[in-house]
Amino acid sequence: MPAATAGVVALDNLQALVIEPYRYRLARYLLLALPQGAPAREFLRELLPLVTHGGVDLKSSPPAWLCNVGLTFRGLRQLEPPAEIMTGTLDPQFEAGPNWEPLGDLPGSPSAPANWWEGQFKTGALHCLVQLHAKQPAALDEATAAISQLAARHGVVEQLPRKNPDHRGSQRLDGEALVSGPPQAPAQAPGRGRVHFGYIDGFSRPDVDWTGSPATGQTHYRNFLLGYSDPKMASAPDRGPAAEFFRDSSYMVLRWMYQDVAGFNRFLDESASKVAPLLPVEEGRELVAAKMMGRWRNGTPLVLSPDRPLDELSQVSNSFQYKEEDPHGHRCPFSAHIRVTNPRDQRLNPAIEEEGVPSVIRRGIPYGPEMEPHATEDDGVDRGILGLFLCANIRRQFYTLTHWVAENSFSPVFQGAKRPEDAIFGNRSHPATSHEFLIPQAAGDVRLTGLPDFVRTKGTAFFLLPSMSALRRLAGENPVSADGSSGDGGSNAAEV
Amino acid sequence: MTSALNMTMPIKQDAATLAKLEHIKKVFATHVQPQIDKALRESQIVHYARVLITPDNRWIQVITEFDGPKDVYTEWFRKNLPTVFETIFSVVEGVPPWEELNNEAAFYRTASKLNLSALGASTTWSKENAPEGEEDPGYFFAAYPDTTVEQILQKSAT
Repeated sequence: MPAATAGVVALDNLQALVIEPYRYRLARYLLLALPQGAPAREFLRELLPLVTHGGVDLKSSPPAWLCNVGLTFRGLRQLEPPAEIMTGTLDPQFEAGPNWEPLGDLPGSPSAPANWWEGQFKTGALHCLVQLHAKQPAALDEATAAISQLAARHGVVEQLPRKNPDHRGSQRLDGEALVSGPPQAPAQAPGRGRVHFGYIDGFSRPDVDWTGSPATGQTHYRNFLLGYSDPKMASAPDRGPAAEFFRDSSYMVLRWMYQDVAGFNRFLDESASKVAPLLPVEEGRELVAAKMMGRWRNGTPLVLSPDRPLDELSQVSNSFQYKEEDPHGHRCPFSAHIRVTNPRDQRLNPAIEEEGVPSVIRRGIPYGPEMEPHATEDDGVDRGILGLFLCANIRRQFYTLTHWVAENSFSPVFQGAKRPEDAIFGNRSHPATSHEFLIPQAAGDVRLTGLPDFVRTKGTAFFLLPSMSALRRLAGENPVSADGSSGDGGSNAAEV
Repeated sequence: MTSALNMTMPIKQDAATLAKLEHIKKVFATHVQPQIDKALRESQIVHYARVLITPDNRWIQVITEFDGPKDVYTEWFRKNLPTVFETIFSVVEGVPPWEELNNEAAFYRTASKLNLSALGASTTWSKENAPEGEEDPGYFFAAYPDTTVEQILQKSAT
């Protein structure tokens, strides 16, 4: 069976998280191990009515809590779907699980996979992620109780990733939007949030077209949904019953990342006078922070305003390029985070030029309490971000970006024997890594040396975020015939 | 980081395949080699590459050393040398037809399956950090494992 012709996507078949970021300030990610076979399907079947899909009205009648569900490759196998759907059909990177090399999580470094999940379990022990979002703690607890009771009834075991409880006593992954902010932060636009390093986030989300006819600047949904593979954007399954089964599903990567806010602040303090000796220290540190991100902390891009943040620009600040506007990196350094993860029209190396700059849908939420602004002494509290990245091709989209972060070697603008990394998110443990942050300037380059690691990976897992129809079939509600179409009654296994 | 690919593939032993194999040997230098040479030169990620056939015509090998992750490399191979790989796989036993192989996931799976581990133990691989089920790729010596082709070319041009 050929892949479906691209047309208008039925949004109520998608888990709502794919469509838009939630405006709920609390999140809890429950990591679960499923039993084999029927009990796992029964768990999923009872979970189904709780899953928030694109047909739920989140604007005029938002539920007290939202729920989404992802499954690892091993989790899918626990559900025992038909062999034709599973064998050699899905993205091989999804099937293999996280690989340290393209992630930049070097063995021997604090970010190494051997250290993930605080040593509580191996990534392979994860089968299912249930994401809960709520506006109030009571609603989050209510949602948690509902899922926990469901899990207990069906032999589903929760994996607790924290060896030591967090600042609220939880051993789970709990996220919370940051509410206060530095004085320069403008009023936050809907869907935008602030991260622990003080930046407003969420300016460069892809504008996804769900109709199959993207306008200029929009990204086709086949970049994020399975079942619509074509030569321009290949995804797996690319054809046949498996493509039909998993159509409208997405791959989703969870990254649990600690952020060393005190270390980041110290670096800004130490670097301010080197970058801007004539500016007051406060302005100098903000300039260094902007050079490392490529945007001022309120979101204003350096390319559009290299000398100061502008509130009026920050709301429409995704319309800029690099090739003509900043070819030498005098405004935005080449290793600034937003220039690494989205080099826009900057020239790429020959081996990757054809595929171009990848795009992922980013979701996620900060975790841990805020530090005092400018604090330089670590308080020993865990804080960072629970990052979610949605895509249709893990190698081409997610891994490409993490590899670029870990090794700035994707463009001819990077020269030299030592390879630079992303100024903020790089893991600089590799012996070939440069510990310098190059800030090109017309009057003479500035090189900030002794660049430390500001971020540490604490866990990574690959999930499939199934469409609603795929979830129903995986749960055995709509069993599948050999050609992938729905049948009527019986278990999945009986249909093989 | 420099990595090795040791694709080692059994050759079908029927008369038609063996005749085709002889033809490949005959035209390799004039028709296949130039395509490989051009593509690899432009890629700037391949250090060394060669194609071998054992004297008994039972195995064909594609052996290369390259920069970066294997999945990126194999996909680059598929996209940039499709006719070369279609030709090679046409004589290989036990692989799907090219129409099925010619997509990213299938090509990567097949290339990985045919990629032999070297003897010994890798100095960069460890079970505790590898995805579950992944095998040690074996010992691989590189005098400059962290210097990329691009860096070498930049240096030699100055």
